[in-house]
Amino acid sequence: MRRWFSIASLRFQAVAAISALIIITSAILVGFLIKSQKEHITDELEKRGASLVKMLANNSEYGVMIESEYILIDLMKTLSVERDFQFVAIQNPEGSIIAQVSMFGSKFPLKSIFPEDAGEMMQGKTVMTQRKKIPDYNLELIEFVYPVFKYSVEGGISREELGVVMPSVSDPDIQAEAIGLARLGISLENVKKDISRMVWMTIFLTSLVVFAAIVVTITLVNFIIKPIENLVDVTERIAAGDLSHDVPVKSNDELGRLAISFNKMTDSLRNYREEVEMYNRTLEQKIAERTSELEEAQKQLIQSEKMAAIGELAAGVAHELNNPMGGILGYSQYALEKLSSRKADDLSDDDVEMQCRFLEDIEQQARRCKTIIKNLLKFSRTSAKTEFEKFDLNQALEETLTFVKHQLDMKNIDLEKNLDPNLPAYYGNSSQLQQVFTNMMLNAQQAMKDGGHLKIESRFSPPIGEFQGCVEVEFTDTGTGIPPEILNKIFEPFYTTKDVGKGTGLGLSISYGIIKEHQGDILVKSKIDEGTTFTLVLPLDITDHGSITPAEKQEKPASEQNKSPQAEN
Amino acid sequence: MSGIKKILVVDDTPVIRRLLCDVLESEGYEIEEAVDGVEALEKIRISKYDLVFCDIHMPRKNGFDTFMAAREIDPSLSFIMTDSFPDKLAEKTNEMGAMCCLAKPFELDELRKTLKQAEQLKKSKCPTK
Ligand SMILES: Nc1ncnc2c1ncn2[C@@H]1O[C@H](COP(=O)(O)OP(=O)(O)O)[C@@H](O)[C@H]1O
Ligand SMILES: [Mg+2]
Repeated sequence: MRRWFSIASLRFQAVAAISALIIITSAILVGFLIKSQKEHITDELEKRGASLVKMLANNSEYGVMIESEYILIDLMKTLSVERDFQFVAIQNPEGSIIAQVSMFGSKFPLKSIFPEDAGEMMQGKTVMTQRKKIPDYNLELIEFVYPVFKYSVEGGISREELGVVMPSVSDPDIQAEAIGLARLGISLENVKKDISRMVWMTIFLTSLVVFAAIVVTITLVNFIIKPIENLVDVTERIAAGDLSHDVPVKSNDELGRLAISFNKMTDSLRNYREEVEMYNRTLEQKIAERTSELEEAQKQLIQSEKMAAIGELAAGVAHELNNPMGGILGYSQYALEKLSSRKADDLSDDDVEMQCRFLEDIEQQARRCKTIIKNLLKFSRTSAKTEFEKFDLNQALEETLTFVKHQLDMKNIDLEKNLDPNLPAYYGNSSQLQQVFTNMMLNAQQAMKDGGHLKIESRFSPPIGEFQGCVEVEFTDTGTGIPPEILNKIFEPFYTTKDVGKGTGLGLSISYGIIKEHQGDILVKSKIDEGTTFTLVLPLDITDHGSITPAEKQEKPASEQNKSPQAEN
Repeated sequence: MSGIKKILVVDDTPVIRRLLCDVLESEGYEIEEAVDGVEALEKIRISKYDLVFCDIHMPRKNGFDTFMAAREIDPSLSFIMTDSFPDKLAEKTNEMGAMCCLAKPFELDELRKTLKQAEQLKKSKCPTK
């Protein structure tokens, strides 16, 4: 029963509007009723008072004429039993009271409440009414005044002759002479009480009716609104994505029909959504399949590029092995010759010392062969993408050189190594980075057809403030240089300026991919005929333990100043 | 002994240099060594050698260049090139008149055989000596 009376609800608006209408109508009705009732009650009172005072005046003609208080009081006594009676008095034209009867006895100061000139009042031909307040007695009353007429007809017909019929003052044949003034005071207290009782009664009854009407209205509105609210509830749920509810159908009317068609709509919406979800699921599955296929293809591409490099390196490595093999073969034969020409106990100390030197040489050279072969095998191994580990970049560079060095030697390229001994341990994929190093060195070698100079440098930029620190590996050759117009193409896959069979055009694009995976960057500086510098920027991430691991997902440090792959001339 | 007395061994790989020196010394030759072509040429300029064992691939100056330059200084000087075979540069040196190529890793017998050939060549070239 939420929002039962929230201002915004239809229910509230309907109830409020109808209730307001009922209340306003009843209020107006009550107002009219009270007003007319009030008028009616005072009217009644005034009519009664007027007829009473007229009756008194007409019957007092004789008593006034003879000025008999006794007769008059007798007459007045009949009035004193009237409801709300307060006083009655008869004045003579001079204003003095001939007779009086009062609820408050003879002490009642009638004189003081008759200040008007009695003579003047006698001129009136109708009953005069006036409201008066007597504060001393806490009285509010209405006073009726009417003159006592002595009637005579032209020609002198007596009252007796006229009979007991009440003479009409306006009859032109009848002459009326005012001989006194009758005054009747009737209290308003009861009338007021009547009126207020009537008012309260009316208000009470009307309120009852209004209340009943509002209750009925609420019930009725509820009856109409409830299904609408159900509808709204379900719509809101649907809007929030919950399609599991139906609108209850309770009637056959318009709302019922609305509910039915609404349920139909929800139904088709539900079906539609299920379809979409199913489609989504298969789509996701397909995407996952394609992604893994793509990853596999990429892995294969990296591997095949690596194999191409190895193919190129193979001859060089074989040559590289020949030197230590030559040492091993030569010295083992030489040692054998020396030993076989002598008996064992003939051996002098010098001989033994010499033999030991030969064997040491053999051991050393065999170890060198082992290192070269091991490094090459390690390099050729298929590496999973996620093989991140801590390793020494300088050592990785040295290892790469064991199988690339000969390529440089053969081209008469002298090598300058400038490796920072303070390089922190780097967290990354060493095999993939070695592939990058190999690419860089081979590219440099191929750019220096007639020999040259290759400088390999490693640097450490410690973290400062926001900058999380990085290591840089730089390859500077004195080769052909890269023409500015192709600088932005060299990182594209299959872009090569080399002869078919010599270049795959994949080296730099794969290197770029590998460096990006390490959140790093490759910068190029080149000048035609002077040479080229490739700089690998590898950001570090210093963890709480002070150990250095590469940045996870943020790509802040170097790439912010150097948008890559960037070319400077 | 015969025509060859003084031999220069040129190789940037220490172990090969050492091996050649050890073996040739034990055969009774006078040996000097150089780590690359540049040093070798300096030595050739200063003193006379009968034979040079020269590596092909070396930093600074390769075997072919060294051979060509040495020819200018001493046209009669014999050269035995040492390198893995086949090697384009080595072939080229041979074509230009170097005596032969000793492919690494070489057997000691091969070395001695080549030496003998060199001596015979020397004798036939300068029989009076
Ligand atoms: N050090 C360099 N000096 C001159 N040109 C270079 C250098 N490195 C790369 N390049 C140019 O970039 C091109 C693409 O290199 P890469 O992607 O490694 O493919 P590939 O080496 O197979 O041609 C090369 O063909 C070459 O023109
Ligand atoms: Mg390349």
